Amino acid sequence: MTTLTDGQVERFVVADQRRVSWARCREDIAPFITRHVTWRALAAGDIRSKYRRTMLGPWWITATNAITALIMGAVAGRFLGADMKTYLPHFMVSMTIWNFIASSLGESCYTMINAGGMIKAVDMPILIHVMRMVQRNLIIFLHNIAIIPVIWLIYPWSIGFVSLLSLFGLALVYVFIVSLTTIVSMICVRYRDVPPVMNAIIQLLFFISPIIWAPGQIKGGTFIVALNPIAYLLAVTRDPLMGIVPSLASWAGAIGCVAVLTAAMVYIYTRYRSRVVYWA
Amino acid sequence: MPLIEAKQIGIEFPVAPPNARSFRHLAIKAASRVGGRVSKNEGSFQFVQALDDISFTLKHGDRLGLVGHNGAGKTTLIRVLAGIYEPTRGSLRVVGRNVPMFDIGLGMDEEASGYENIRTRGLILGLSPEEIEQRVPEIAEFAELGDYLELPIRTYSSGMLLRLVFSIAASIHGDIILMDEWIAVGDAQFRKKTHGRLQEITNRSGIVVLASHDHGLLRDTCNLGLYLDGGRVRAFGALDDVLKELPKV
Repeated sequence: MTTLTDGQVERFVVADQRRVSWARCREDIAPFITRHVTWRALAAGDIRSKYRRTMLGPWWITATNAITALIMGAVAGRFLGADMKTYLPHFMVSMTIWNFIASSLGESCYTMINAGGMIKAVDMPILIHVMRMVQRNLIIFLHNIAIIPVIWLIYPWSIGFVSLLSLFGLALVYVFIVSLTTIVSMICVRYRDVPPVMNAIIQLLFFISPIIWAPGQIKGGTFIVALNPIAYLLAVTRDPLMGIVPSLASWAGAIGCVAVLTAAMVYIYTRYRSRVVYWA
Repeated sequence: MPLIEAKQIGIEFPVAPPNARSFRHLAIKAASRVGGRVSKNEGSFQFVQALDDISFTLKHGDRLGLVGHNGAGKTTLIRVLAGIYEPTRGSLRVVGRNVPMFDIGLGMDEEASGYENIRTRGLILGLSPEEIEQRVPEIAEFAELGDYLELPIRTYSSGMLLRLVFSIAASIHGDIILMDEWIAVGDAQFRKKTHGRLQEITNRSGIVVLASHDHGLLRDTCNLGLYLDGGRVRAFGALDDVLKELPKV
């Protein structure tokens, strides 16, 4: 889509463009910014719609997270024989970040499949469907983290300016999620076996990521963590929030994973974007 | 100036037999390739040639009527022009803003109010929130739903819902109107009103493409005709000449 000198929009499509050029990538990824109002407003509408006619509204998300914290605090901490004062904050912060990743990834399996009707009826960049889904999960995530200050008041830990680093970490997590879910949603609409497989993968990722355990706590923990992208992302988001400066290796790992994944997403999206309408 | 330039457009739909999308089948296929087992084309993608070698040019003032049997490719062609399907062959140049007048009810939320749905639908059509706010009074007035617009649309009758949906679609401005069948909604009085509005829209826009089986309507609206048969162009030219090509009923 280009704008001509007289203000008209022009669309020129040549069939079967398999070559992925930088110009095409830029044009295809642009709706991420140019249409941000659209996907943000649609996501806000989804959340409003979901909690319509409820008393707490979206704060139900916070309430359910608080209940999780209570249960895990009462049961799992003791079960693992850990000290509640250090274990509960670690667990809740990890779990909140993990939920953002896991629920986005889980929903992404059906994002394009469910949007099939709309993809075939409206000329709207399909990236918007993914962004709408991620935005919905971001809103849920923001409600979920409201529980963290409460836990801090009960079991205070040392925080400082270093905690602001977690905002960078969070930005990385966001880009990671956008790239990953875009790829997954496109694979899932083409190969309908992937969604059930993905559920199993998400469970596996949960157990091999340092969420209910800390790397030092279990045998081989450090080894698993070294190979797991989620572990790097958790390290650069959670650790600063817990008052720990993440190691340079953690930053390198997190940035590396996000960069590779984003490059893959841009390529796959540009190459196969126009095919999705035929698969949906 | 609005312009549509279609050059040898072809559309091939991949039709996946139930197996083609499964990993198990892909694995079996790969294995059989190694083992030398012959598997016939079963499970691989088949293609339906929905459009084949379609070429035409439309300029400002052209009103094209698409005619042809069911399954001739009319809807597919409209969706190609709307930018939904990218052609698998040929090329397409479209200058000007599209006004899609088909599938106008998609993306509505049952639980949300009429006003909220106006905003949602506007966003889906690519309007900015400011543009939508400007149009809300006009849409509300046209739909004549009054206080109902404050209520969730699940409380609407199907006729009322269509009124809302049409009013939103009719508020979009652009140069190229793409219509899959003339829209007729509501009771006799509202039907007259929508007819008048559609005529007004088609008259003021630069290019109109209308797929319809109603020859009288096509004569009223269009000056050009395109007769599609099995995805190919059978006739293209002045509407009356094209209608003559159609088999007599």
